[in-house]
Amino acid sequence: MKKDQAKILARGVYTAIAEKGKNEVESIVNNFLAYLKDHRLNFLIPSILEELENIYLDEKGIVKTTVSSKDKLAEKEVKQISDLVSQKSGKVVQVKETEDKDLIGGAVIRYEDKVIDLSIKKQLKNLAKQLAS
Amino acid sequence: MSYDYLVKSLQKQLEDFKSDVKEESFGEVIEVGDGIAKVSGLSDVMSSEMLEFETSDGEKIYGVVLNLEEYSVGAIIFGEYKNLKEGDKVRRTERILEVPVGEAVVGRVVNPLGEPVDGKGDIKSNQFYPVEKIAPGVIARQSVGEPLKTGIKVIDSIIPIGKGQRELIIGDRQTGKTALAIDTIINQKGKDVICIYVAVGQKESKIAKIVGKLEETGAMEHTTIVLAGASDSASMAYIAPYAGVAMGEYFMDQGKDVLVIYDDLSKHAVAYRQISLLLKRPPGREAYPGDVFYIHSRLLERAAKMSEKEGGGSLTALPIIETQAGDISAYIPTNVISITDGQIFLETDLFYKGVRPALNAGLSVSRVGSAAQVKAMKKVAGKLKLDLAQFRELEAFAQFGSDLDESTRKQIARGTRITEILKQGQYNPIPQPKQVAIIYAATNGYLDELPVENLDAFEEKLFAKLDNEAKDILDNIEKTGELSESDEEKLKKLIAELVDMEEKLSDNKEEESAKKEEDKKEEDK
Repeated sequence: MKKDQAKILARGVYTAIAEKGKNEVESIVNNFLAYLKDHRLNFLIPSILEELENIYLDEKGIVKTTVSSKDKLAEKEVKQISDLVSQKSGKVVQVKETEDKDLIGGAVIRYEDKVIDLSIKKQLKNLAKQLAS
Repeated sequence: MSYDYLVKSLQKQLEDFKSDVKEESFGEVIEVGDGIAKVSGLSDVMSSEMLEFETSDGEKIYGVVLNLEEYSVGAIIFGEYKNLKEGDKVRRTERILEVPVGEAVVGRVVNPLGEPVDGKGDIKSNQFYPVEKIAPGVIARQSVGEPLKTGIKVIDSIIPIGKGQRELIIGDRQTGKTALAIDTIINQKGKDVICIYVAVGQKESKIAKIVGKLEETGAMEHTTIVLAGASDSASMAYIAPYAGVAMGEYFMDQGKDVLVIYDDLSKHAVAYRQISLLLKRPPGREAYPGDVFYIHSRLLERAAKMSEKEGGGSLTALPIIETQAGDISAYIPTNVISITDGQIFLETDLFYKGVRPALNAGLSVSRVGSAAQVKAMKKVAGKLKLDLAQFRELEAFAQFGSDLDESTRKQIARGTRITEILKQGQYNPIPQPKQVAIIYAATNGYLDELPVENLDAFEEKLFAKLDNEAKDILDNIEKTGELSESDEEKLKKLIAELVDMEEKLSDNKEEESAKKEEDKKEEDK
C-alpha cells in the first residue's frame, strides 16, 4: 500500500511541476509538503523522492542497470553489458556496479524488473538440477 | 557399478549440459496477508500464472496470480506463507497451475497441488492437467442417457442420477449428506467408475474415518481423495475442487466414467470470500464477491457426457451444500441449485423421525436423470412417485385413524409402507435388481397387510430368497435392464409366498401371546 501511495503522489507532483518556472515550482513543492504534513504522510517522503527519480529517468528514457560481479569488471565488459541492455530495452543505460563475492564468477544484470543471471553460481545450480533429475 | 562407468556417465551428462541463460522477470513481495501476497514488479505477468516465491532461507513456495493492478500484482500462496517476508524475491514461471493426473493418483489421498498426504510415497506421474480449464462445448457433448447407480433405493427410484449429470446434495449439518456420497462411492465398486472425493475445509478426523471405511469396503481402489483440511490455508480450499475435477477430466478424456464429489461448496465459497476480501475486491451480498456465482458455474460446467466421437466418457458431479437451519434461499444454496440439474434435499426433522436417508421427496428433483433410468426401474417407480405424492397430501389426516373412509385408510397404509421400505442403513448400498424387487412388492400392495415394523425383516428375507431361489430374475434385470413378463410372474409368486409365510408367523405369535395371557390369568386365579 505504502509503495502504491508514494508512486501516485510522486506522479502527481511530477506532472504539476513539469515545464513550470522556478518560482512556481517552489510554491507547488511547498504546498505539497504542507499537504503531506496535514495528512500525516511525512513518512512517505523518502519513497516519494525515490519514485521521483524513477519517473525522471523514465521520462528521459534512461534505464538504471545494476551489474553485480565477484570482482570489478573491465571497462570493455561493462560497455558490452550496457550495449546489450540498451538493445533490449531501447533506452539509454546508466550502469551501477556492485560486488558480490557469493557469485563465484560471471555477472548478474538487473534492470527494470528483469534479471539476466550469467553467474557461475546459477549455472552450478542448473547443473545440480539436471544431474538430480 | 564400476568406478569407470560412473565417471563415464558423469562425463556424458556434463557434455550434454547446456546452460541456457534467459532473461527472467522478477518482483518483490511488498505485503503478505493470510494466504495472499502483494508483489511489485513482474510487469509482464499473466493472470492465473504460477509464481515462485523464494524465502530468505532459500525455501521455494508457489503462488498463483489473481489480481493485476496498476503498480502491483495480487497472488494467493500455497503452503507455509509465514516464512515469507517483505522484500523476498518472486519469479515468473510462465506456467498455469497444474496437477498430476493418471492411474498413479487413484487410491491415494492428495492435497490440492497433487502432493501425497497419505504417507504411501511419491506419486509417479508424468502427465499433468491444468487446474483451470474451459468446459467442453456443445459439439463435444451428448445428452445424459446412462444411469449412475447410487445403490440407494430412494434416489435410484425417484430422483435417478445419470452419468454426466450435476446433482446437488443439500441439507443442514448432520443430515447425512456425506453418508449419501460415500455410499455412492462404495456402490461404484466393480462398475468401472473412477471416484474423486474433494474435501474442502473438512476435519481431518472425518477424512481419516472415510478413508478407513473406503479401504474396509475395498472402494479405495477406484477412489482419489483430494484433501484441503480445515487447517490448510484458504487458497488450498479455493483450488481443491478445480484440482479434483482436473484429475477426473483425465479419465473422462480416456473414455471412462468419473464421479466427482465436492464436499462442500459452501466452505469453498467462504474460502474464496476470504481471499477476495484480503485482495480488496469489493464485497456484495453476504460479503461474497461478485464472481462467486461464476466460480461455481465454471466448476460444475466441467461435468459432461462426451459424445462418442470424443470417446464417450463422462464426469458426474455431486456437489454438497450445507444450509443453516434449513434455509435454502440463502445466497450460495440458490446459486448452486440454479446451476445444477436437480437437488437432493435432506431434512433434520425427517432424520430424527428415523427416515434415513432423510430425503424430502417433495422438494428433491432430478431434471435429466429420468432419461437415464433403466426400464425395469421406470416401470415400478412411476407408481411409487404417485403413491408417495398422494400420501403426502393425506399424511396430515393420518392421526384421525378410524374416522377415515376405506380408500383413504388404504392410501395412508400404502404410503407408510413405502416410506418404510425406502429407509436404508449407512454403508449398505443395494444392487438395482433387488431394489426393483422390493419396490415392486410395495407398489403392488403385497405389503399392505403386513405390520410396518416387520418390513425391515421382510426385506432381508426377500433378498435372501431371491439370492437362493431366483438368481435368474436378478441376473436378467441386471443384464437387460427390463422386467420381462415371465420374470414378473415368478417374482409375484415368490413375494406372495413370502407374505403368506409372514402372515402365518404373525398369526402364530398372536395366538401364542394370547395363550400366554390366558395362562397368566388362570395362574392369577
